[in-house]
Amino acid sequence: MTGTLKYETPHSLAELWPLLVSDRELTGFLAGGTDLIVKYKRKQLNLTRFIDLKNIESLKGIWLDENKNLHIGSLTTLTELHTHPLIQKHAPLLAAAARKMASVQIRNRATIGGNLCNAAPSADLAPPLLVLDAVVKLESDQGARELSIKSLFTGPGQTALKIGEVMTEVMVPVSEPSDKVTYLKQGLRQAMDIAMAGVAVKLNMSGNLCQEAAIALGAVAPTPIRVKAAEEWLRGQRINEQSIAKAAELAKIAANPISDVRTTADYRSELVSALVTKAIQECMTQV
Amino acid sequence: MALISFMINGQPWKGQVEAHETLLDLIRDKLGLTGTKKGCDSGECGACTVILNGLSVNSCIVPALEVEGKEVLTIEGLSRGEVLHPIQEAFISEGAVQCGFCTPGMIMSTKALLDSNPHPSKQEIRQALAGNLCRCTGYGRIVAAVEKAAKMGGDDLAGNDSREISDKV
Amino acid sequence: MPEMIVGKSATKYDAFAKVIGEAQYIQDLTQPRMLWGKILRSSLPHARILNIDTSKAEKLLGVKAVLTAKDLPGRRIGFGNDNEVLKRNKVRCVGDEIAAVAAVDEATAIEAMSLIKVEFEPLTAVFDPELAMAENCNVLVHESRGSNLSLEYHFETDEAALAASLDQAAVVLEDRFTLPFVTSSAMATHGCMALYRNGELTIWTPTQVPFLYQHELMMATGIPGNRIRVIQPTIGGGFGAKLDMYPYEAACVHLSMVTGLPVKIVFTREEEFQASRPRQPMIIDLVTAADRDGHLLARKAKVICDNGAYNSWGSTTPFVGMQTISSLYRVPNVRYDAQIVYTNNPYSGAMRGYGNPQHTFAVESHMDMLAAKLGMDPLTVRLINANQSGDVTPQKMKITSCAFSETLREAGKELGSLPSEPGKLRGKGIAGLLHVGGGARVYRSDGCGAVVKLDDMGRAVLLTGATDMGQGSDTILTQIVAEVLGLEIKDVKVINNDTNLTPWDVGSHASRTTFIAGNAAKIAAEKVRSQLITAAAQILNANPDQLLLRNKRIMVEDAPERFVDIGKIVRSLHFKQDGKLLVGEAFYDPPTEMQDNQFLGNVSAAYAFGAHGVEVEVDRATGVVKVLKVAAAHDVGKAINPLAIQGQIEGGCAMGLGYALSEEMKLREGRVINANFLDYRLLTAVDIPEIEGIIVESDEQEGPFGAKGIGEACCIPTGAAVANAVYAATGVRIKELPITPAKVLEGLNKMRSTFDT
Repeated sequence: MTGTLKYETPHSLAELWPLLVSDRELTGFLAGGTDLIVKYKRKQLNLTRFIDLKNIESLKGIWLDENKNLHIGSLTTLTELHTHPLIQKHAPLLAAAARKMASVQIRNRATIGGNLCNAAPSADLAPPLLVLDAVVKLESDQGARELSIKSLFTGPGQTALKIGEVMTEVMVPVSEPSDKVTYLKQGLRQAMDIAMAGVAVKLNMSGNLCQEAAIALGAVAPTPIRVKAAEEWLRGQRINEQSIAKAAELAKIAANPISDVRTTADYRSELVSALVTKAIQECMTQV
Repeated sequence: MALISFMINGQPWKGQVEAHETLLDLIRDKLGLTGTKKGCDSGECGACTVILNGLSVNSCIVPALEVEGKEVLTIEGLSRGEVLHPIQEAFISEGAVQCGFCTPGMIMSTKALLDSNPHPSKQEIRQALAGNLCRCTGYGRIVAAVEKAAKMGGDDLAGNDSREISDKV
Repeated sequence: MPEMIVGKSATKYDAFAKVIGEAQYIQDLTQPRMLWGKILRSSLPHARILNIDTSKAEKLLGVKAVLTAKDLPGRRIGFGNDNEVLKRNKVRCVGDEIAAVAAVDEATAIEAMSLIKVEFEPLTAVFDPELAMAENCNVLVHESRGSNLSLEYHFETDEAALAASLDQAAVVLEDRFTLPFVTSSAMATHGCMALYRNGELTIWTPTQVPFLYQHELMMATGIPGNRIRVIQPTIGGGFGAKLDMYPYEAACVHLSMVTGLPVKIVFTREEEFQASRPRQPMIIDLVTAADRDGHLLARKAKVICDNGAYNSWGSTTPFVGMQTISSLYRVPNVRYDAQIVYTNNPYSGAMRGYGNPQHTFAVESHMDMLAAKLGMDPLTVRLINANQSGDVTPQKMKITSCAFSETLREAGKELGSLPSEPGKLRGKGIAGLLHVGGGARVYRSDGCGAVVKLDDMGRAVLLTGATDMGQGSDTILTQIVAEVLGLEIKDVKVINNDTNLTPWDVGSHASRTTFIAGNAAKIAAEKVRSQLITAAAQILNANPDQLLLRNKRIMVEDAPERFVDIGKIVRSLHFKQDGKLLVGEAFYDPPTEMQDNQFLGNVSAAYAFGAHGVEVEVDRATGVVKVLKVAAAHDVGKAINPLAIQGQIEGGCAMGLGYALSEEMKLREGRVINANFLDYRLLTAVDIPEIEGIIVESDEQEGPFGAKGIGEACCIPTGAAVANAVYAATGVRIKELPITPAKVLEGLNKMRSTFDT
């Protein structure tokens, strides 16, 4: 890393806001830094300043409110996500997805806020949070607002965050024990890999009848997406080979993948169908 | 440029650090602790793994300024002179070392694993080392070494070094 | 007499230094006032250099030198003399060296590079070797050569007999096999440090071949060879990529000459991908013919190698591949044609196996396809064709020790017992290999020198030319010397990293170190031993034939109470009139021959055989291949250090599995677009299954204690074994590596649609 670079370490949001008055386009927000620092070193980012958020205590912590919403500070690391008892109990899907990411060393650093604000189409936490109907809290010196995660991603690497806004919290409605949830990810390696496709599924069943379905896809469209058509199809259906196949087909149609260095668009399409099928099947094995 | 101080292998260090400096560059270039290796400089190979406040991290993507007030353990802090840590002993006896460039990082990842999970399964070991690439060994001897170290150290392994370090803090 | 040390697992000679982080790699070396060098590389695959403006870079504070081609003597370098240290008129691949900078620190050197302005005239480039050879190709990588064909290799047995055998054959298979760019990916990147002082050059570099390197550096820089000292720091993996002298190394020397200061250049990982030598991609059109009982009648191969922009050692890999075509299994009629074609891609070099993994993939895929065609068992068809001790192959390779059949039987034995889960398909596959195992006479000498000196405290020091790049040859050599001299391993030290001290050696390549350097060390130690025995016989007043060396003593065999310490014998020789030193030297050059211009000749004193058995599980829905187990059986002659062999086998298999499943350097217009470890996927600890190494001993008469080379052999057949296992599981035959889920799924879908209609 080279050049004259400033490094700010605000200890509170109050200390952060004045720093955002100028040079906001040339500022990199350091959470885990696992992506930002690599991009900076590779000169993919032109930055004059790092603002290290890690000393802002209000961005940390995991707690449950009286409305059964899990509040996850944006600085929560992936390791915390997959080991924290509250996450394991109330958002097991998120814990499982975090565990499938990168390596121990990266998981010890990378944060939920970083993963979401990076807005990679393949972000592993996005599909689970999409099916869990998570809401993110964005704050600026003008105040706070809440945004459905569905509205967060606007394009590859693009979010709905306005300049001067910081993601402070991710709120996740607690999963009921009866919820059937699965996140499946396929990379070329079994670890240290970026998904060629990722699929999250959440089903509410009444016997063999699907009451509610949520299906989200990662790495197969410019942003992580929910698949409304497949969800609507499954609602009220009996879950069997035919209904699963139809849902998988609808998901495949909804996907809009590209070919890149990791695999082809065609294979990604096939993978969507295969993983949606597997994910629903896996949900159905859960008691 | 800012003045920071932190604990490195149980000893305090204080000095000027630049905003763009990584922990890896700091410990290699300013502290002369070249046992920690730079294999990719992108957090993708694990050769630079050190333990920061008890957690394994890729030091190549940790800003040096961030370690202010923290504790860092590197490969040089593991042995006590001629007395090797059981993990180091096991890496030698099980043939886990070939070219050796990944070895310090592998050992630090192993240390972090055994500190939190003194009796890991084979699969847990492989998962824990997934962020440390090795081109020579195919990992088999390394997994065997970690299993042996777990046996040698038993439950005590977790306590040993961190206790010694915190005594000095 | 049973061996005491040889044959028993010994821990690695340098492991202590490595586990405490004290081993010094090139990355760790420094010198007072050392400058950092950086190479400005071409971003274009093919372009004329119109102008280079270095004025701004030169003015930057901290910059000590900026060199371009005009500052250099303009010597041609590389195998084939088709390359330059810094390119003068034209760049031919992305990564080509244009300028070299030395500055007080790395950051300044990087900044200086960004200030150099190069004016290019982009030229049309060619990236496909078949297009590069087409008649209508108007792109010439090297204009002066008139064509893009760099080299050709041709071997054939009697033409008429070949034609007749094809006519008679019950089965003739003809298929195209395609192999991708992969790269060594040693965990330590390339780097060197040069210090030119008072007419003498010292260069610290992780070369695998210090003496050939010394010569190449002399040719590249003009510094007389006897003024060049090569020192090798600890080498963080080589795998062949450190066989070439690279242009950056000569540039580094010139930077030191110009500045009068030590200069170090270390590659970034991205540079390592773009500018170190990968394994050559190949297109292999293979014909295999057999009779109805499965006996091979003929093999014909037409091979196109993507050479990239320049010749490197990689351009000679058909030399090895040809041996696989002609001599892996008994095949009487053979024709081999290989064309090495210039393109504007990165240029290929040596990588573990040296052409053999590619050729073995084709041959061993065909062996399975042959078995399928004849309805035979894949093992049977191999066993009836397997090479045997005493065979002379069509290229006149003389097979001495050979346990090929046993390795084939062992490799497949315990696989394939578990039933598949729903949605998963399981299968097992095997593949065999032949590789040189007793050196390889690719130069007029295949020799290695060794000096053993024994001091008066009973410590032996071995000076050897043999390079240890991590594989563990130092350990093997200490075992051999300790065994011969009756010492403990710890009493033997190795010095092998400084051309000022070490005797000459061709280098660490061709899996030759245990065999060649081992023999040299053994002979040198035996010379010391006989001197010791003579002296001891006098002291003990015994017949030399009755004396034994054991536990640092020489004793009378039948009366072990009559002994004398080895150190004492040495002292007795020092402290007397007309005393002498206890030194033994040897130069071992194996009893082999250079191949003639027909490619006939016994290049190696022994041949390594082996077989890999692989069991896979394929996911029907995703095409994902999971390797469940590898059983790798190798004929090693004699296992001098079983633990080290296990490590070589496991590491070789892991590299082979990566070649089979996940590794591919992807290029776009000659640029590596996955030049990092996230997108170039070395398999991780989670991906590699249990690997069972099976050591088979065949007692090679020419080898040290019966040993043969093993280093490269371990990675050679894995790719074919995986492809064969995938076929066994699914019926899908993949002829193009890597075997990605996308390819497998495409195959499965095609089969389904064929089945449906």
